[in-house]
Amino acid sequence: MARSMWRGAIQFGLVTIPVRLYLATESKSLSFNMLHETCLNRIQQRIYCPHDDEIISRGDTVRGFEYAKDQYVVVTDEDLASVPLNTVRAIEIERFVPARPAEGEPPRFVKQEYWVEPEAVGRKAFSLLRSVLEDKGLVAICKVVIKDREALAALEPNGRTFLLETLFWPDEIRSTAELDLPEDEVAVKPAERAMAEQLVATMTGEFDPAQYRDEYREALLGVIEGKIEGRETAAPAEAEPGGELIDLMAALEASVAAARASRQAAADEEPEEEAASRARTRARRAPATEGETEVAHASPRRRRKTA
Amino acid sequence: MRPTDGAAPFDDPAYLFEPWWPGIHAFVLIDGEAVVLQADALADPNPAFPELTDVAGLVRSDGVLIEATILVLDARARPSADLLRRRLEGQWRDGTALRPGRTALVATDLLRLGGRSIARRPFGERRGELAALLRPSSWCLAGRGFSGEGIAVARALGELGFHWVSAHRLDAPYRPGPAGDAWFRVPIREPAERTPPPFLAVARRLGL
Repeated sequence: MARSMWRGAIQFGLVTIPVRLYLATESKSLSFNMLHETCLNRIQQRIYCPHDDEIISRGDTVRGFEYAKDQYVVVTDEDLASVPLNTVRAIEIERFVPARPAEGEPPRFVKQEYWVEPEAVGRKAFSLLRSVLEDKGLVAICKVVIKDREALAALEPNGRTFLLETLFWPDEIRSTAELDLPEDEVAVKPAERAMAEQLVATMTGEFDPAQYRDEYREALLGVIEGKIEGRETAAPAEAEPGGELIDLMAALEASVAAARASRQAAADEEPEEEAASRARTRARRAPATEGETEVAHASPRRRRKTA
Repeated sequence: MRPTDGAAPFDDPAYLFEPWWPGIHAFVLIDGEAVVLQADALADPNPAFPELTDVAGLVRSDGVLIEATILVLDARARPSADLLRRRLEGQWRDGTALRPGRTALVATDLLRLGGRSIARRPFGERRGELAALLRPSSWCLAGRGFSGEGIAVARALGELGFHWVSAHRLDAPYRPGPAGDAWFRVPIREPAERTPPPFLAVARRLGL
């Protein structure tokens, strides 16, 4: 795994558990550079001061907070360093709450996820806390400072470790009040609702993330690779020659008819006494043994109550 | 509905036997102007299977929900896992290669008709409605099933390269979740070589 991006400790009452944080996700999005259209060289963005009409360096800038229109107060590094924070090197647990928000509670909007790894001296306490939260179905709501910013976070048991999810602060979450949403009691015909419910029921299953992939990114990469190799992109080409479904159905019918005829012929040729003997044997041998395919002893599992 | 794994092919007049189609499980919902094609694990199946956009034109009724399987056929009109994989990889979409194989849609069940659920009706009736619902086409058909003779169907499918046979109980309603005895997925195996009893083998050698 990549190197840790934060070291500190989980603070829980008088307990301190030294831990490291690792980014739990990575973006695979394709990024582009801005080029000058005529020469295809990368463009540069320079810092320009319209007041003095000159290009300046980043070192000539200071941090300003706009407290009124065009009125700024300068905030220095020393000002930032003087802000009192208890959570500079700690994941300070505030309280424990149910893992799933209760009915009516606002959802937890996640900013970023981190895997948590205990330092050697904290492994036992780490496992104990994880085990207790998992058994009780709880997560820890905490505060943590990451990259000079204090964040609200949820510390959630996940497998053999914790997942630390930094959350948006409540005042960062936009209200739905301005959205044009349908009324609760929108007029829906019973048949429409039943159809929607049925579609949902038929598509209900388990979520397996491995089944999903970013098809847009793959297609875009295909276009880019084609350009690198000098190929021109174009609309999808005609299909390779492929057979028709109707031919497959015809082949299926013919094959089944042949199998029936073959089976019937075999039955006709079978001596009467042998057939009768085999029928008696079948009757005595149900249920089937593995690999046999005769009618009476090839029962599906339902008949053995194993299905 | 999730099928139950069966042990071996069997004959039973209460069941309809057909291929276990090796493709992508899908639903087609047609409701007024809305046509939704929902395929397992594909957010949008249309880029991989552009031919399927015409499916609504093949359905004679409105308010229908069809269960189906998307296949990609090779030149011999056989379902091809390799062509299906190439379709999903999408490298052909940059225009440098032919679209792999030919897309086909096999409809296997009908859950709504005329805006009403028919899921409680027996499977045999639903299949009958399904067969009448689809206009004839070369690429979208109701599945062809055979009642009763599962062993003969399994042998025929084995010769065509299929690995599984599907057995639907004809009188069973559709039920979400595990199918129980309403639906089996049965592996196609070569029948075991029958060894005649020793006395019969000796008698045959003697020409008796």
